[in-house]
Amino acid sequence: MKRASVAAFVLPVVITMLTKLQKQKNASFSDPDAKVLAACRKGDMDAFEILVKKYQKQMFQTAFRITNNKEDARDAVQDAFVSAFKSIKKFEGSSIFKTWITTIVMNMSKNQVSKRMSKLNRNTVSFDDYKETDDGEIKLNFAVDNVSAHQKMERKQICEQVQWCISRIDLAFRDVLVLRDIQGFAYAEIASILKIPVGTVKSKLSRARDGLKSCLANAFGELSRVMP
Amino acid sequence: MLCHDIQSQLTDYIDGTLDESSQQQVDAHLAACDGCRRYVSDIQATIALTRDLDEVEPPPFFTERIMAQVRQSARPRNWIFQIFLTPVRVPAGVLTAVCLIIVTLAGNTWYLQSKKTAPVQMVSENTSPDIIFRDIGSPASGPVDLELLANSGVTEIKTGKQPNLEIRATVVISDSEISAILNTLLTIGGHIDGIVSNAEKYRISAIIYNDKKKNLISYIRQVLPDARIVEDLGGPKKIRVSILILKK
Repeated sequence: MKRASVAAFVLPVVITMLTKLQKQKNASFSDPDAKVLAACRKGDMDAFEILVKKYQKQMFQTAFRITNNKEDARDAVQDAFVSAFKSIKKFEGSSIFKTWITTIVMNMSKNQVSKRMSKLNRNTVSFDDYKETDDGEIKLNFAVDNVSAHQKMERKQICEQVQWCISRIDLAFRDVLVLRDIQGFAYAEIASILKIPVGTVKSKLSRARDGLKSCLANAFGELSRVMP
Repeated sequence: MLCHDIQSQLTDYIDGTLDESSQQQVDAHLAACDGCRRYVSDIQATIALTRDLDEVEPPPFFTERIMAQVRQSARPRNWIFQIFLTPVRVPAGVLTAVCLIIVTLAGNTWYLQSKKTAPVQMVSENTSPDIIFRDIGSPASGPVDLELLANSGVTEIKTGKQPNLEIRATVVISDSEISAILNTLLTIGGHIDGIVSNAEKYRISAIIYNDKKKNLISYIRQVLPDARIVEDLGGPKKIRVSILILKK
């Protein structure tokens, strides 16, 4: 009887520890930053700087595409790295570092957007604004000045227009679009970053792309004309 | 296959993650459907435009800035901050119990304090039954009617603070003269918050504006020339007045 109760107490603890070890082992095999991470966990600041140097630019891109504001992107990335350093010992390696830091950057960027939104009370395009036309086509009512499709636009202007259209997409859909079409994450990785099922990733991506297409079509006319 | 049927597969189709047979089905549909073909082409153009965005340069010395913040966050805090800012996990039950104890102790202390400040001593020193009033007068309430006050049934007064202006007199005084003093207090904007009236004395407690103190003193000197007047010099904006008239 005594043995049984001791086993009931010890067994879950052992299983948890083994699972944790296995997770770390798996991660260390697949995570290219495993060695640096191990040093970071020991408080090695130089090791952490290696990670910052490696990912800061990519994280800044992600944050900027979400926030559409360089200052907000800068703050989001800075806060994300500080937060990552503080909790790096708790980072068990259930995902690779790049995915983990992207998750934090996404959350920080969304916080920045929320802060700015509450300040400016700016309206973004909600997907509730979709309206179905008589021929079954779904269109968004963007208040965009129509730019003549025949007008030859400079590349810079095109980029600005694309970024503007991305920033008008509802935040709940924008994150998937940025992670997939700009950062090139796989569906499963996006699902892990945003903590949503893969099916939801696909449906959100579909709607985000659809919204972006409508915005760009309003701005450029025929998209094939401005295609790179 | 209808247009509606391929909608759910288009994301996978465009990203090249569709299985072979489904891909062939979508291909076959697109070959026959202008609308869907145009839609797919537009989405592909949208993705191409998105992927072709220019890289945005981070601010200069970005790594250094980040590392400066990281180092600052890693710096050990002052021990006082460590004590007060280190999060402590306390079970909800314990927290509730501690809150309840604090609330109970605070309530008890307040009750005892309020008991201490109650003007019981004013009543206990009397040898005959008192007529005691509370909060009987303010400028808005009009002239004081002692008879009406006597029948109001109020049995305690709230006071107990040291007065800023104390007036004591031993005189023969009628109820109408007392009424005149009370009405003067009201006229100068005072608030009478207590009167004790018995066979031996009148005790009036009131709050007046400090700048009306001189008016009250000059009035008292007219009606009670022998009164002893003790006053605080200065004092707050509103002051407490205690008038004790012992009946001869």
